Parts: sequence; C-alpha cells; structure tokens
Amino acid sequence: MIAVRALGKIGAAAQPALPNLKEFLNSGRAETAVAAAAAILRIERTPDQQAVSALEREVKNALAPSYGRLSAIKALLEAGLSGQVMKETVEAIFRGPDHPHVKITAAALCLRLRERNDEAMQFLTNALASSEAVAGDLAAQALGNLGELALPAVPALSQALQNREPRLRIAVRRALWRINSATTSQKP
Amino acid sequence: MIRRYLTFGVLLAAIWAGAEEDLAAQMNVALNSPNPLVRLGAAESLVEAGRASEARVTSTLVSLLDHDRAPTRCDAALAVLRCENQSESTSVRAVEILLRDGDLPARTEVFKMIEALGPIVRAAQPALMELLKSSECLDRYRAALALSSVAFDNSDAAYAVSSLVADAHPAVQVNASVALSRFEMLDHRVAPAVTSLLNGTNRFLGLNACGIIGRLGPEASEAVPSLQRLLDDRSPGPGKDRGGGAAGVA
Repeated sequence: MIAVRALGKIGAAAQPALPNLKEFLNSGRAETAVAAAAAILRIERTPDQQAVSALEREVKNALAPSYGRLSAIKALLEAGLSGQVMKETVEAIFRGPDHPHVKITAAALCLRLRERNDEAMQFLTNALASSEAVAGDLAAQALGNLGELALPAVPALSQALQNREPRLRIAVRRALWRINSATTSQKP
Repeated sequence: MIRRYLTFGVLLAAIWAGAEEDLAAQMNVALNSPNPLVRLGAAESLVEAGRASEARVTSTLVSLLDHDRAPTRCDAALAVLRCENQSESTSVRAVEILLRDGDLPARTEVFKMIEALGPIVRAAQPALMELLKSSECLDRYRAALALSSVAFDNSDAAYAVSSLVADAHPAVQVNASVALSRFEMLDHRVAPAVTSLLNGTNRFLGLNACGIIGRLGPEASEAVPSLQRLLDDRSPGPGKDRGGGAAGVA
C-alpha cells in the first residue's frame, strides 16, 4: 500500500499505473481502496468519480476504523472536495473515544476544515507537552504539515524546543522549518 | 597522566568535603599549572562537580582546544560539550575537533551528543560529510543519521547520504535509508539510489524507499515502473502491506 501512496505523490507522471490502481478500488479491502482512490485523485487532473465514491463510502462507514475514515477525508480535501459529512465525521472522531494518536490526526483535519479551531489547536499543543514521546512527535508532524495554519502553535512549538527528549526537539525543529517554509513561500 | 589524576582526586575530595577555601586554593594552583594535563584534569573535575559555569574552568578548556596533542584536544573538547553554558562557536569547534581528531570511542561519544546539541552543530556538517567516506563502517553508519538530524534541510547532505544506500555493509545501507527518510529537503539526485532499493530483495529497504519516493513526489518519476512491478507482486511487501495507519494520515 505504501507503493500505492508513493505513486500518488509522484502525480501525473504515474499515469501508466492508473489501470493497476483502479483495480485496487474493488479489491475488497477498504484500506487498499482508500489508498488507491487517494492516489488516483492525485494523478488525474479531474476528479475520478469512481475514486471519489470509494472515499465517500469510507467516510460514511461508521463501522470502519477511524484512521481509514480520516485518510479518506484527507484525500478528498486534497482533491479540493469538502462537505458537511466530512466535517461531522472529523468532529465525531475528535470528540470520540479513539486513541490520542488518532485524535491528533482528527484535530489536524479539524483545523484544515476550519472546524473547532481553538479546541483542535489546544489539543495539538497539549500533545506536544505529552509525557508520551510518540504523541509529541505526531503532534509536531501534524502541525508541520499544516503549514501556515499552524502559525498560532509557533509559541508552543518554540517552547517544546526546550523539551528534554531529543527526538521531540528534532520533530519540533522540522515542524517549525515546515511552517516557516510554507509561510515564506506564500509571500509574493 | 599520574599528576592529572592526582589533581582529580584532590579537587574532588575538597569539593565533597565542602572545603570551599581549600578548593579555591587547589583550583588556582591546578588551573594555573604549567602542565596542560594538570590544567585539563582540574577543569574536568570541576565540570564533573557541576562547576562548569566558572569562567576559569571554561577558559582553561577552551585554551586546551588548541593543544598540539590530539588526545588532549579531544579530552578538552569532550569536557567543553559537557558545559551547558558554552558559546555556540566553542561547541561547534569542540564537535569538529572530536570528529576530526578523536578515536572511535571519542567519535562515538560525540555522535551520542549530536541529537541533544541540535542545530548548534550544523557548522560541523563538513566534518560529518567527510565521515560518510570513512573506512570505519560505524562512522558511516552514525554520520548518516547525524546528518539527517542536524542538516535535514540540506539537499546536498541528503545526496551525500544517498550514496550509502549501496554501501558494502548492510547495516550502513539500512541506516542510510532511514536517514534519507528523515531529510526534509530531497531532490532528484537521490532518486536513482532510492529507486534501486525498490528492485532489491530487502523488504525493509523497499518499504522505506517507497516512503522516500513519496516525499520526492514528481522528482522520482523514474521510480514508476519499479513501483508498478511492486503492485503486480502479490506477496506481502511494499505493494500490499498495511504500513501507515494513523501516523501516515497525520
């Protein structure tokens, strides 16, 4: 599946792989179908209806694992698609009983969807100070990926540079570098 | 050498006994000794005793960084890195000395400190890049990871590390591949080395290569045929694994 993701990120040059990827939409495994649909949407310039339907199906499937539904939402967002169901799903996962690592992803998606901004940002910055190193690492990654949207978290990230855990400090430096790169690249 | 350890002993005994006046007197004598090893021993003992912030201690250590004997320079450099209040330029100099003149244990020590030191060792990048070509596989192994920590935004460093994915030593190959996945700035120059990993037999390297190709994006278009081959491969591996999960989404 990681190869599927890689093809998607290559983009238009991966068009020869589209037939294989479309085959995976009907593989019967939701996780593979979501990854393939996300890759197809990145490779094709116009949204492929079959891929969009596969992702929407996963978002609406309340029995599916939360991270699968969040992956589907992320792929739809990247394709420029957004809707009420997506917002409700992300919020339900953010507020629900999922593992904190999953909720970090949900919080980041809340921010992308401009939903529950303050709470989501607070959740991510609190996770930076978590005693569990992986949670801090994931929160830093999520904030770095948010780019300019994570600007309000810069003071908390700067504070986390003093953390005793070297791994977290490195993740935080990367996050700050990404936020800074995203901010400067958007300036004229 | 014996005089150096005697200095250690006398100073530590004075510190532990709380004999401040004795300590001050001993310190003056030892730190002003004409023998550089005695000066070094005194400064090291005081760093151990938590007195690294005293100006005399740091100035003694800094002056010993220029000593003509490499072991003395390296011992002084290690003590310098244990002082939290050192200036950035001094710390960088200490790291450079250890990477250039240190023996394997000394280099091991500095590699352990690199992640903790973080961006201040960025100036040591040339020394780290040089170690990628070391004949000692442990140096190559550690230098790759250290570069990915301190130079994660340097595509030249990433390119230099990419040459190690075909290293003769399998552990160096793995570490170089892990290090590459930690660089933020990657460009098309690393694509051939990474694509070659997709065609190898090592599943871990193949999986990691997929992640790096994803980061390269359109610059890794030459990897498309190899990735397609992986999709056709029905065995468990980079094409069909369950890698990613929540971390992949974030």
